[in-house]
Amino acid sequence: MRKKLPSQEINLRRVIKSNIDYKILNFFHNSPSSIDTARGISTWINEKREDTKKSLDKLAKFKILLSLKNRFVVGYSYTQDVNIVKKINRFLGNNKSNFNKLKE
Amino acid sequence: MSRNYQKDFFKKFTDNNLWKKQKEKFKILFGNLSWFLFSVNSKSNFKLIECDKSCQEGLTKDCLKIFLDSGDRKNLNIIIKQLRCHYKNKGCMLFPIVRGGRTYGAIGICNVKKEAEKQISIFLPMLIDFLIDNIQKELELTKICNTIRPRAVALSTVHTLHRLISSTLDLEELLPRIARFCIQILRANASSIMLMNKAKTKLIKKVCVGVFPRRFFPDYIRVGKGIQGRVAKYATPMLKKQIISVPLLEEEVVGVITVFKKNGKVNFTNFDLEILNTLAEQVVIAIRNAQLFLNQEKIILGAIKSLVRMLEFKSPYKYTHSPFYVNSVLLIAKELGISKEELRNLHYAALLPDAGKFTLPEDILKKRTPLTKKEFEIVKQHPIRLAEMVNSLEILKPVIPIILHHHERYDGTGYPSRLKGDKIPIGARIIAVADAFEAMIGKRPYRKTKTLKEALIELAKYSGTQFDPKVVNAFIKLFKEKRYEKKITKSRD
Repeated sequence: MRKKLPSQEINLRRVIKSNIDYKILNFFHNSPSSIDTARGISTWINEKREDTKKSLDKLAKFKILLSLKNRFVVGYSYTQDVNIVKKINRFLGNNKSNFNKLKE
Repeated sequence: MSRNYQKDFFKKFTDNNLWKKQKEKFKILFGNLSWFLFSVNSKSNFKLIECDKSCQEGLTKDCLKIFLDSGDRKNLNIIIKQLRCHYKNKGCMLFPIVRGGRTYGAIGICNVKKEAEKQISIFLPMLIDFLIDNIQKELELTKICNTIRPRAVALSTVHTLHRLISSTLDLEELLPRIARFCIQILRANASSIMLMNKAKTKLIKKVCVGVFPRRFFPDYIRVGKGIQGRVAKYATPMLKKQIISVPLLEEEVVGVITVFKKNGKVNFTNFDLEILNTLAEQVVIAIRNAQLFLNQEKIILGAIKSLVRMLEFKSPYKYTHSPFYVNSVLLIAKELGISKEELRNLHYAALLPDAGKFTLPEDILKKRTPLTKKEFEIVKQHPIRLAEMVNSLEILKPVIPIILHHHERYDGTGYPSRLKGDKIPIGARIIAVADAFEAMIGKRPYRKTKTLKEALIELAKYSGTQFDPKVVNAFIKLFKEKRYEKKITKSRD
């Protein structure tokens, strides 16, 4: 059986459940060149660092983000997969109003 | 006033909550007013932006005509126009949206009762003034945000990158990491790093990541030739549609970073160049540090090798080991997946473990008959002596536990500390296996040499008692790869 590509496997509706997930996705989609730590990203999206870190790790697990590690720092950056980016673009367009209403 | 600014202005105006609320309040106070919002273009013509749905019936077509006919910029700047309405006793009013000589447009109201005209002409201009103030501030903030935010994000990115790259001093790990970061940050297809050779005549390709045409990333390039060569020669960056090349500049050019083809059908911009330049400034420090560290390592290794050579001259392989032994130690360590730092320390330790025998009396070392208890007690001292010798060298301190305990046995019957199991440092356990193996297959005047197979059986026999089973298994696994067996046979010869 042919192996599925990462972009085929991702179901964004199942992955992006909270406002933080959405904010992170939105941040990286608008600043795809960014590489930042959990602390930095929590500042950009104005959320708690711990919650942001959890969301970041989840998104990295689903290959929406890349996690760049060394002994002391973990940086996160946006996926380079064009198909995933297209999917995210559609998702963000369709769900803008839903997530603005959504409360944690 | 730019067309975009006017467009943004009216978008903010129509979306403004205060404006929406106040319109409702005006309706409550002054009856069912009909509202029109116009922008004015450079030719002083009105363009309808918004009007109440209720006005789109017959009534408003006429009203709209009245407003459009009255669209005269000169007059709009100064006065509120009171227009005649064709219907009943009600009138129309036109309020200019003007600030500091700049005419944005006008607000038209239809269906105005005569008695309300005076009050509306007092309150509405105040509201318009307040709205203009707010919208201008909002637009200014958006503009600042749009200008500063990408730069702030880029700055934060560079800062994170600095933290990510400055933690490693291993050039082989550092360079691919930097190249990948360049691709990531500039959303490019490929990136390469070339470093200058010692003679400063060529750039040598050290790493290349991504998909790229070979002509852009040759293995080496002469200074002055090609894109990278010219960047290195003149120490100035080069920006082309599909390629950016930036020198790694310290006091002189250390190398060149090149990034190729942006994702999507987009060209590189000056902003990309700015980012790569900033990145290059960070990178050059990291590369220099790694190069210095590499040189320092070479000096240490050189010093240890000189000491080993000196001991070899005195008596070959009495105090030192064969090159194959050092290789075995490193291969087992890699097989067990130990860290790079531990591997480096193990390399130093593997060159030295029996150098402490240098301090033992010659007659004990040369003795062919079994040692007496007293003599064995003296021999047991050699790891301690070597540890004492090495102790004064700060850089070799992590090596001491390995040197000190390489004669310990897994079951706790070794020397000097009778350590047991995992309490023996992993490096020492690896050295113990490689040492025993080398002794078994090596030529000794006092006993028969074992074949590789026999030696491996012997190791397996004492696995769990004398040797760590994990290490023995890793060693045996290495032998299953034929290349390794060939290597050993060669080094034995």
